[in-house]
This record gives sequence, structure tokens and C-alpha cells, in this order.
Amino acid sequence: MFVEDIMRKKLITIKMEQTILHALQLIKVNRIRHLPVLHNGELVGIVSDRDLRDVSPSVLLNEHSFILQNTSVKQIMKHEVIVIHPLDYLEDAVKLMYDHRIGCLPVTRNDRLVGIVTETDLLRALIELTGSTEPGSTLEIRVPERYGPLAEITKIVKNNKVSINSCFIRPDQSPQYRLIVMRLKTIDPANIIQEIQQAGYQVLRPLVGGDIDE
Amino acid sequence: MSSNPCLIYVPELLQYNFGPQHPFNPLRLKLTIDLIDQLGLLTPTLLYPPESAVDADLHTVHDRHYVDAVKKAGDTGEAEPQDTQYYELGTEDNPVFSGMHHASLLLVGGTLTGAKRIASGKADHVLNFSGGLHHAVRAKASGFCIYNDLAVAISYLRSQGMRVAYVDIDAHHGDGVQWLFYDDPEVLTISFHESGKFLFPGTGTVYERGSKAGFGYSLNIPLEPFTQDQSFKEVLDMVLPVALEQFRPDVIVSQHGCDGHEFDPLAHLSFTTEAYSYAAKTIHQLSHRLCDGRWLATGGGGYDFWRVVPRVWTLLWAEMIEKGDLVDMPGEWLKKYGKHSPVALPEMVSDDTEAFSPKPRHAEIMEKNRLTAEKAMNPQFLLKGDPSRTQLAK
Ligand SMILES: [Zn+2]
Ligand SMILES: [Zn+2]
Repeated sequence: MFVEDIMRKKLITIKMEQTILHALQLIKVNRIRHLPVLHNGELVGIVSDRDLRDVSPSVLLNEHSFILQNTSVKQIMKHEVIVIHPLDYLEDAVKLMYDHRIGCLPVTRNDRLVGIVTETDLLRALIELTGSTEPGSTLEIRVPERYGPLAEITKIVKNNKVSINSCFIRPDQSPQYRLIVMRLKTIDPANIIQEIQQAGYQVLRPLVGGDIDE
Repeated sequence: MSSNPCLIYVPELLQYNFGPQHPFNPLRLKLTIDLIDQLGLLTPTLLYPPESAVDADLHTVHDRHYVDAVKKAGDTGEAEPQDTQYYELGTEDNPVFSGMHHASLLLVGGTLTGAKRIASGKADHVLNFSGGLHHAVRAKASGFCIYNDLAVAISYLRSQGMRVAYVDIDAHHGDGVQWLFYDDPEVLTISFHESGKFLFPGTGTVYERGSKAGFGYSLNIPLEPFTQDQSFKEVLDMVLPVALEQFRPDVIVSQHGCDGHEFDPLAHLSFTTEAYSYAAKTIHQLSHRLCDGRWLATGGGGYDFWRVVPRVWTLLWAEMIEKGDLVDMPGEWLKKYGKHSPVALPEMVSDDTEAFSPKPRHAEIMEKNRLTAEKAMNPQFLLKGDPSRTQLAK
């Protein structure tokens, strides 16, 4: 998945000379947490709901609205913005956000803001990756770490004329094994499970018979 | 509890048939009707034939192009590649069979006929074993379901100004019905099912609660695999009376898929007939208490059609007509079908629950299910329907 596939293109932005009161209103009305700051159409900074809250005086004080109305976004925005390109990959976005502990990445092309990726977008991408947007049955299969098992298993699925919603392979606790997690577009995977077992692989889930301790 | 029940059936309903290799075998209906008959519970005055539905009925919930594709596939006997791609017709789960549109129309008509008899006051309880195809959505067949008879019936009841509570106890999540009424605060959908972590269709988490004005009007209770009667009954009691009392339905529509039985080959729940009898009784009583007995019930899943389906559904009918004292299976029925069945047929109508031993970790399973029900019934979420509340889901 490219960043451009998951980014949000409908952008809510603010100009750097606008007030933080305005920024607070934008964030509230649009239920968002980050505002890219623009100057002459170029991305020059970012403010988060946290930055705004940090500079907002207590609501109990009289100067409350004075400060909000007389402080510009420019004075509090972060100038160093970590950005990403639309042709970067989902993994790059995840890694950047994780390493820098940030909740949002503006997406720029030639310094122009073209989109934004937030934690919510990454979670949505995760949902899509696991294939859980389409009806299906999920199998978890433990296979030896060598070439071949995935091909054998997908062949069994193919011979049963069932299509695959999603499939991923992840490390097992033991390094000699891998786990294949596969979502199949069928209500009845019994035949496929049986053939996978006959081919010598261990189907961990769904369990049958209730003996949960493997 | 005076009542005026009716059973919808004609043998033509057996024509909804995906072929001999398919798990959704029409024998399930035949075996059930025969059993009811031989137990003396098939009084002719209670029997009512379905009126076939018409295309316009389907169009209340289904896409026209999809309906046309089903028609065409049923005429030619095969699905165009794009119909398989877009509509899931002609897959292993939903194979094309000759006349499938008409067979499905009759089945939908069964449930719809029931809805009409209830709305017009001609009957209070109606049962259609052949209905309950809860997976079909607007423009897709899914999980053996071509048209969603339940949604067509609910849509009719809505058009008569009724508030509908839909209760689904099939082992699979009642996804089709849920999605078709996800925004509608006049239809409360409640589904008890095996968790979708591994089981089809994969949806039905407690966090699916409806959207827009319908937020709060979808309830899901995903149960752990190997859940047994005791836990199911406990969770049913925690959820159903409270939710229905708050909602105040004009009619209850219920789906009684019995694929959660220990013997069922598709799902991994461990119910006996006791879980199903208890659910039927609870729904029956609630219908009298809350909506003058207006109760439309259907069959649904259930793939051990020798040992499970006929008995569970007979018990459902017996509950409906208040003949709750069934003990032995009729000898004639056992003789007739015993020689065809690949497994020994039970000799009692109800399972001996003692014969089903507790599953490993059953205490833990019970606790987990209890927490799930508590989460589902959290008053913060229950029956709201205020669009701004959808933000809570974030
Ligand atoms: Zn009654
Ligand atoms: Zn089912």
C-alpha cells in the first residue's frame, strides 16, 4: 500500500498568521487533532491539539480569550515537520510515526501539501490488510520455515475453488516455524482444513473438539 | 397466553437446493416436517402455504441488477464471470441451480407471508423453517443465502409502521440483516453468535452498534468457541429482556439457526437442544409480554440435519403451540430415516444434557462471555440513536 492509497485528501489547514482561537475552533468543529500550517500555499509547520492546549490559559482567568485572540499560530507551531511522500509505503509511514512518536504525517509533493496520514488511517489500513472488511473464515496454520508450504496450501485452496480475502505470514514463537493466517471467502472451510492437515501442516485455528491446550 | 400460531410450509420449498454435495441440504426441512407430523403437531388448521414474493418485494432490500443476475443465472443454469465476481453467484458456497430465482422467491414469500399475517392480525406467532437467510446483503449472495427473506419481511413490517426487534441465535453473525438496517433506529438487531475471529463471516464484535440515527440499535454478543448451554443461557438472560424492554418492539422477528449445536460440523459452539429450547421460550414469553404475542420466527443454519435440525426446530414449534411435553422420538420416523442416516439417530427429542461433559476451560469461557455481555449492555451505549454519539466509537 502506498501512502497515497491511505492518506486523507480532504485537508483542514490554517495560515500561520491566524489566531490560536481559530485553530482551536477548527480542531473542535472538525474533530481532528493536527493542523498543518501553510504560508503562501507551502507547508511551514504543524500544530497539534496538545500544543494548543499547552498555551491556552485556564478558562477561569479573565485574560482567557485575550490570549487566544492575540496569539498567532506562527508563535506556537512546530517548524520542524516530518513529512512523507505519496509514493512512500505504508511501512515507511508506520516506522516514521513509531520512531518519532508522532500521531500524524503531512504528505507533501514538491513542498505542497497533498494529504495527511494519521494513526486512524494506519488502523484503517490494518483492518483492510487483515481482510476483515469482507465476509470470510480465518485459518491459522503452522508451517516449517522453508520454501514451499504457502504454495502447497494455496493450491489446496484453489482446488477447492475458494478465493482468498487476505493472507499474511508471521514469525512463530519457535524460529523453525512460520504462522500463515489466511482469510478465505467461504462459510465452510472444513474440506480445506482437512486437506491442509493431510498435507502435514498443523491447523491451529479454528480449534476442533475444545482441547485448547496445544 | 392465548395465541393464534401458524406454520408456513409447502413441499415446493424443498426446491431451494444447491445440490447433493452442498451442506445446505433441503432434507433438513423434510426431516423436520415429518418429525412434527409424526409427533402429531402438524394440525392442518395451523398449516399455511406461502405466497410467492414478487420482484418488487425483493427490491425493498436488494439491488435490481443483482436480482436480474440471479434470475438470469437460474434460467441459464450458470453464472457469468462478472456475476461471480460482483455478486458471489456461482461460488462453492452459493452455486447456481436451475430455477434459483423462483425457489428463492417462494422462500422469501414464506417469511413475508408470515409478516403480513401478523401485521393484519390474522396470526400472532408464525414460523417459517425455510427462512432465515441472514447473510445475503443488498447486492451479494453470501454463506448459502441468495435473498434475505428476513430483511424483506422486516422491511414490510416497517412499511406498516411497526418497530421491529430482530433476534438472531445462529452460530454465525447475522451480518446481512444488521448491515441492511444499520442506520435504522426502528429496527433493533441483536445477534448471539460464535466470535468471528475465525468463524465466517468474521464480523459481529460488540463494537458494531449501528450508525447515524441507528447508533445503539445493533447489539452483538460474540461468544467464545466451545460455549455451552449454561453460559449461553446466562448471557441471553443478561441481554434479551433488558434490551427488548427498553426498545418496546411492535413485533419480534427471530432467526433460529441451530449450527451452534455440539454436533454441527461448521461452527465450534457446544450447545445442546436445551440452549435452543430456552431461547425459544424466552423469546416467546417476551413476545407476549411486550408486543401482544407478535412473533415471526424462522429457521436458519444447522448442518447436522440428521441429529440436530429436526429436533431443535420441532422443539421450537412445540414451544410456539405450547406443547412442551415431548419425550420420545417417534418409532416410525426413526425407522424411516435410521437406515439413511450415516450416524445413529437420537431416541429422545431433547438432548440429555448430562451426557455433554464440560469443555476444558469452561469456567474461563463463561467469564469471558459474561464480560462480553456486560460490554454489550453498557448503558453508555445502549439504545441511543443520536448521530453525534457515533463519535464515541472513535
Ligand atoms: Zn404464545
Ligand atoms: Zn449459521
